[in-house]
Amino acid sequence: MRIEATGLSCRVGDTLLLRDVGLAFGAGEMVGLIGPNGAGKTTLLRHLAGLAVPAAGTVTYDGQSLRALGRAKLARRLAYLAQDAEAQWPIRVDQLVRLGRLPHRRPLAGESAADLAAVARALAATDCERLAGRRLDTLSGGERMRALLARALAVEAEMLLADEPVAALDPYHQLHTMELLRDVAARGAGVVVVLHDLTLAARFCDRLVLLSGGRVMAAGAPRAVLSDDNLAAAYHIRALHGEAEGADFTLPWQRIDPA
Amino acid sequence: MINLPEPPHALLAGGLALAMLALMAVSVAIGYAPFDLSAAFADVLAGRETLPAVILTELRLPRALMGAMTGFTLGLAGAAMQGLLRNPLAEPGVIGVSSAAALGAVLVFYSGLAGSFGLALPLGGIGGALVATVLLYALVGRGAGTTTLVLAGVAVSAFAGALTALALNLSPNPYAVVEITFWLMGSLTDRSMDHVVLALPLMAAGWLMLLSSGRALDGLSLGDDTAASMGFDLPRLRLKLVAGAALSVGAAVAVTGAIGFVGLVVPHVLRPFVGHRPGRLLLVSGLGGAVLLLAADIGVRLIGIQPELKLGVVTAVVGAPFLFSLIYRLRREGA
Repeated sequence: MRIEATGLSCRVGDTLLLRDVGLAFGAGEMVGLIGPNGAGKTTLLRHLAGLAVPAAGTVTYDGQSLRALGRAKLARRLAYLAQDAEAQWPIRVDQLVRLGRLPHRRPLAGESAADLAAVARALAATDCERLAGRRLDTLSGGERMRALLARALAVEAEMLLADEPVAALDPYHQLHTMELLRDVAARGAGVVVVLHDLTLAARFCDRLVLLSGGRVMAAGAPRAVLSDDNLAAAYHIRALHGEAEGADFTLPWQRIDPA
Repeated sequence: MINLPEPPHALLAGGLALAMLALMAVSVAIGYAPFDLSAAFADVLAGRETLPAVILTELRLPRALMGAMTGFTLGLAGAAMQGLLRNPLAEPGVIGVSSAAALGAVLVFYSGLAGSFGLALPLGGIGGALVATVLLYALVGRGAGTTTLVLAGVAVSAFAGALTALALNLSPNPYAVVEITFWLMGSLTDRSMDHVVLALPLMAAGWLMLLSSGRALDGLSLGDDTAASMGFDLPRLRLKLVAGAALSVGAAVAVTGAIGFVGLVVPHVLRPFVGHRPGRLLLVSGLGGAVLLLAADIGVRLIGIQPELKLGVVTAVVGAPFLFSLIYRLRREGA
């Protein structure tokens, strides 16, 4: 599926959260949305997921608007993992992940073998099999995040939008989750992921979109987007760039006082 | 919280349904007057209008049916509201419809219409509930979120409560005040088959709306955004749940008066047995509510205190300490 945002603006009160954003996200690629706090990353992701009505501009899915496509249909094709995702009730992990199959189930129908297989794959992929029988209120923040990611993966959608899925994770599981998202893209789905960690963003994403003040400041290959000028302008930082094992890496290093 | 073993859903629902039926039978069998149940049944079946037959069809049976229906409504609506608002302290009256139904009935008392025909009182209550629902929709509109809904419910509830107090305040005679106050305490005494027939269609329509929202409530437990991304139309869901609660709870309060705590406590007790899944809780909580209310109503008759204890008083006296224990448990968990 191809998601296309054209002339997208979002206004809350007098504040413009997004200004004239035009972007497209396709199948099989992993795009990182980066930018400082308040740049509009989450707002953009919510608009891409059809969860917010833009003040101006459009979002289309393979050329169709949300209204034309229908929310139920979109739910089978697009999975969304919210930033502050949390389950209100202390349900079991396997039951949480099974919720990911709700968009695929017909009214009154039970779970099909395909549903259960998808749930099993999602649990395995997120390293959550051991946690399957545990209640959410007995998990750590990172374990809970993985379980919630498993719920989104269980949709097996063509497009996965994830808002800071690695924020609460230890380094092992950060790397694990990023590899997992790469796998999802490698299998042909589109992945759009909001990230704060520039090192992970540079290492794992095919493309980066740098937002600042609700505008797209730069978009393209990680190395180009994470240029010294862009980092200084958007984040007021200087980063170290290097190469290790044949891959570029970027390491935020120093604050720059805004001139 | 203790990790309770989770019985299969069908077993739990089936067990509670059987308990409900058994308690309905007990409810029919007990009463104050000596009463030959088998003779009464024989008379009813033979179409003879004897005194036992009339007691059975006009007193005992409606009381048992109304108890089951009201309990089911309160348990179900409580579970639905807790699921919708994602708050374990929500209860069926949280959207203001109980207070409004009570006000409607009080106005009927106040205007003297109550004596004019038998169903004036419940009709007034249902009218109050409907007015409250329309007011609620007018206040929150279609796109409003959960917080707005709760606030509007509190406002409607407060206003209805104030008008009820005003009616009591202005009441020309003290007997009316006593009568109204007692009615407000909630009871199943002397409800007739007419009451059942009046309330059942409204309740059933409400039950259908609530019971069919199970999956959406499961989705909603992951938050508004996630639920919407899963394809659930949240404004429509809110509309459906509010309408379902308004119809069923409005009809219940209109006929029985305000019976508290059932809708708060029953979903709470049963939640661990359904793995905390709000969708699974709906039917089970309804059946549990019916069981609790029937048991309480049998209780007030067995205790034999005269004048008979009001059902709403009993459920509150039993329910409030339960709430203490709940808070104590929550505190221990540090939640």
